[in-house]
Amino acid sequence: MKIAALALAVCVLAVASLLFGSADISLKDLFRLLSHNDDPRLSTIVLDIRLPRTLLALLVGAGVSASGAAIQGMFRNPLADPALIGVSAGAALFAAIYVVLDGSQGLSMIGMTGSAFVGGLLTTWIVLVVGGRGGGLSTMLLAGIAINAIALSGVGMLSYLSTDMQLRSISFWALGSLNGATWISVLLALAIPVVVFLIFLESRNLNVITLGDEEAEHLGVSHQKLRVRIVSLCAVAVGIGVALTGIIAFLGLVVPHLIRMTLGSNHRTVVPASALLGGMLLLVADVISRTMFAPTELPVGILTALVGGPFFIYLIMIEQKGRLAV
Amino acid sequence: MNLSARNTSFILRNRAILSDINLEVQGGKITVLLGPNGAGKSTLLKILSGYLKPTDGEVLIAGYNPQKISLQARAKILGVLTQRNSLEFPFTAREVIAMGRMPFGQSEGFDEVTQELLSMFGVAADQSYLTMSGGEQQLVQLCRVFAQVWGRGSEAFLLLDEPMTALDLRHQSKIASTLRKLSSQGLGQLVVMHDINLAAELADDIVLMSHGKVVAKGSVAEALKIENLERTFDTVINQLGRGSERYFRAELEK
Repeated sequence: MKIAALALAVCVLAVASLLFGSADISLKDLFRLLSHNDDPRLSTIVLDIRLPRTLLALLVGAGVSASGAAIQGMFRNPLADPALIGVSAGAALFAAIYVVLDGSQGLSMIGMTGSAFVGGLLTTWIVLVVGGRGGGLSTMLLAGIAINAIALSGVGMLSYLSTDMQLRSISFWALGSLNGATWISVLLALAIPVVVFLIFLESRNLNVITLGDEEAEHLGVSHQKLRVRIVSLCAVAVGIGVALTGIIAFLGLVVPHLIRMTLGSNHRTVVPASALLGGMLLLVADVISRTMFAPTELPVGILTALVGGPFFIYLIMIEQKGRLAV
Repeated sequence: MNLSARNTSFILRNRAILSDINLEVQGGKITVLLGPNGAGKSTLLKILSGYLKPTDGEVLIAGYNPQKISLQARAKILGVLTQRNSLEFPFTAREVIAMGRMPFGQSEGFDEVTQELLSMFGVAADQSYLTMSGGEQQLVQLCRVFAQVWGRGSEAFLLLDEPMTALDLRHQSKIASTLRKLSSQGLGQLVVMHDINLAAELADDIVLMSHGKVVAKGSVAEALKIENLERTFDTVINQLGRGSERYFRAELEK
């Protein structure tokens, strides 16, 4: 029921988002576009610019937030973030490598996206291999933190070596933006809902793993195999998102937290609800970021961090008040 | 059906945690494991449950090596309560207990077993786990493990690591009578405890352990003797009363 309400809200916001932007478009224009399209300018703005951007926001937000829910469950820590498995930092590093190695001015979107995606997966794989050796969850957490730091220092090094033009590309990418959304990026992002569904299929296992590794094993769930599956799925979901839009901060951390506070902890609810709310929030953030300083845009990653950070502190504070036994 | 350890040893970083353990948990009996802190009781439970592999010797659950059968198959015949409690998410009591039904494909919390346990122990079904006291959390975890073996009779075993921790007297006696009831249905149980007197009341068999070795084992009368207890706990122990009225206590150090 609550999921259906969230899904309805997503649809309403998706339509509403088509109306906002630097050019004025009314609801009447939208109906006109649907019935008989006689304005090529209208069709370009709505169908080629705003619609793919809206869809990309929904898909990327859903992927990052559902992954956040799964990663938090797997690490048994409501404060874990999908970035912990190294996927964002790895993608940033490889995007930066691509920018610096590719001397040409007109960067190919496919090249940059592809190398970011490969980088995200590769880094996550290293975290899995290094972190898996100790067997414990904390080993993986520490491996994730260390590899994140190494990758980000790599980005720093490349930024230092890059030309002004390249530096601008790297930093713009690291800030996260939906500005480059095209139908091709939407097509690539269509893999995200498939992966989110696969994460959803792990919901019961995620519930059980929150009890502890040993406890999960006694309930028939191998923590080692589950960890590999969850990390791989999240790496793909977040990896696609990061590769297409850059780093969207705080969404994967805040959204599942918010869902748990309102709808409880069962991952059968948390995973789909996080996906819906995550898509919705990224869409709203994107609309604000493209209208607040119109005609220029604020990178949406700045906005999500700016709003998400203080909001998260507020969440932690009110949650601690409601707790008795820790 | 029996659960047994034969000549089982466990060595960790060149330190023998368990040496040459032989014991048997029989179906329909409660075996209580007593011993000082660090005696190796929890490690023994981890080995018997198949979570850890013994360095030497073998463990058999109903004739199977627990490490060789699938986790799902193992989860259907073995319920285990560990000491650790790492749940950091606001699941409701119903959701936590229902996780015990996971091996049987029912984990939504509205099946008969979960309902029965909720009402039997008077647990508030919709209360968040994180707002419960330590004792209430322990009770919910116990119910989760009971849910896993409920109605399985002699088809299953229960391994409980300090189940009475943090429980008040009323709940201790309720748990003890539940263990007795499960035992009468044929369930084999191994229970780690610290309260010698409660153990004397509850157990069919007692195993005393110290420094990774079995000091004494047998029926309550055979195993619970002053000399065995003093050897196990390395302290002076007094016995008050006799026969079924007897009561053990450690002498206060001067």
